[in-house]
Amino acid sequence: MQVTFWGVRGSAPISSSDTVQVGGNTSCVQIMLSDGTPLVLDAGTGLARFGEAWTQPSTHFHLLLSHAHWDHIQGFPFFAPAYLPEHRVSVYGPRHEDYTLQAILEQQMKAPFFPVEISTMQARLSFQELAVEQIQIAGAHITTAAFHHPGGVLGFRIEEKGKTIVFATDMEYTHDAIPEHLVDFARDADVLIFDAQYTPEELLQKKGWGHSTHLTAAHLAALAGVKCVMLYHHDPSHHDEALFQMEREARAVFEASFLAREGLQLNLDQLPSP
Amino acid sequence: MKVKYWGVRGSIPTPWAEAMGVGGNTSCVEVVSERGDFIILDAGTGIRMLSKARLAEDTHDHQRIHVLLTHTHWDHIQGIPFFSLLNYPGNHVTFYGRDKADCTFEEVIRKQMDSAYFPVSLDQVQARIDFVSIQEESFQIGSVAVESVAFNHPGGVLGFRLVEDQKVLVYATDMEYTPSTLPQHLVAFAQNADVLIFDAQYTPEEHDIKSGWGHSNYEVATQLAERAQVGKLYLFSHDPDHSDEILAEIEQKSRHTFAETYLAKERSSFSL
Repeated sequence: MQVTFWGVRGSAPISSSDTVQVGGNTSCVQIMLSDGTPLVLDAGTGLARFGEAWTQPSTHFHLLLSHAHWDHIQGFPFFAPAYLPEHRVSVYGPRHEDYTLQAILEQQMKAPFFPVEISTMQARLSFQELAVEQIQIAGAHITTAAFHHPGGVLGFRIEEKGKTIVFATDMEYTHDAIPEHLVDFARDADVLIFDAQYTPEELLQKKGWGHSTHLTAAHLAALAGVKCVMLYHHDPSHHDEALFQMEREARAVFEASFLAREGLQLNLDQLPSP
Repeated sequence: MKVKYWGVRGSIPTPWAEAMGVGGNTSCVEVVSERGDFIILDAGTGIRMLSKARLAEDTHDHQRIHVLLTHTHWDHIQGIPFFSLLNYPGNHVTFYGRDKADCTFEEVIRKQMDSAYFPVSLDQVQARIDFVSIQEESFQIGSVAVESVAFNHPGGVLGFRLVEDQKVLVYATDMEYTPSTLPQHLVAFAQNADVLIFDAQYTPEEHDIKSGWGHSNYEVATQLAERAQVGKLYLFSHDPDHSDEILAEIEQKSRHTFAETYLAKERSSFSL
């Protein structure tokens, strides 16, 4: 498996000269399975650039949504491959109490909010609602788990050929109260991608908003015995220098802590070292 | 009137280095009248930066704020959940926009913050907020006379003509015309404006491919500026595929037709 970060920002896309090193697009991570099947985790604005960069014909994309807050779906209307009949897009996401997954994405592309309806997308679209369960996509075995976020969120544990990637964003835990089921979920992962939106000071003010800190990420990484942790879902108010500082602080707890940066690629056979 | 651009991009924000000179945030223009009336044209992601600047200047509370929305496509409202001035109890914010056939303007704006999509609803904000449904009409905001007129865009769009002390600002974005179909009512709407801010999303070549998507190109903008005899033209709603370099070329080409043409750039400001 290979990981590419297309959007690493939380809450809102941020366009500013002091955030371009880390990146301003909202949540989107590409995972290439060994047979070339693309899994895409979340559909924030990063999805638009992933779609523009995609050159292969007749592809079956698997788009896994952790939840449907804007910063995780707002790139979907701009996903160019979905407009081409040669492609297939299977969308997976958590069940919502009021709307189906399909309705949530359809409403985003309706008047008066967007000029192009989802029916304009010529690719073969399908929608599958996920509970806490296990599914198989190509050669990958995927386990979902529910975590603490307003309205709920799913984490994804993706295993293929003895390698494991855990995507766990938009969940609120403090570094001194990490639950056992989260540690189990992240256990022995090669790459853990975790919500590091706040500093501990910010989390005190933003308790209940559904996000963790870089120190939660680092402590979780240590407890779960992962190979490396990618600090993810950066707060829009954090400029590059503030994020570099958070990376240093995380490394004091867990050495193999890295900022997820837009454009960064990880090969699971050659993980970066600090 | 003093005018400042906080978001100049169309469709989707463009947070990459090669677009940072012109700016990557979606539509948002701040207008402050000579008398101090605080008007915001559109609420794209730029409104987040506007809010931050107000906080830094300590002018974020006890404000009477008027937010005029041309229409409710995402790139014109997606900043509202991050419009932090809504969190101050001393503020009174009025949103102006059009009702739709099947839902009111207020319902449209509230729906963006439905719990499926956003964790905080508009019921929870601290400021006093209200909604005014407008059509084609004339109304007054403090010392500014506002005229709204409907133009051609999927689902419809309003342009705004703002007049204070005989100074005229025309904000006309997200509307599709070609040089040969420039309607008389648009020329009349922009007539003799000191400043015209106009939709120049495409090049003429791109426009041929994207006909019907609801945007104009820089040739339309410059011909309109010429025919309406405006003072200055600002090209606005830049396409997300246009880098700083492409936009600089567009500005140069535009000046062949209308010399007083400028790119609307994020954080740049001017006074009428």
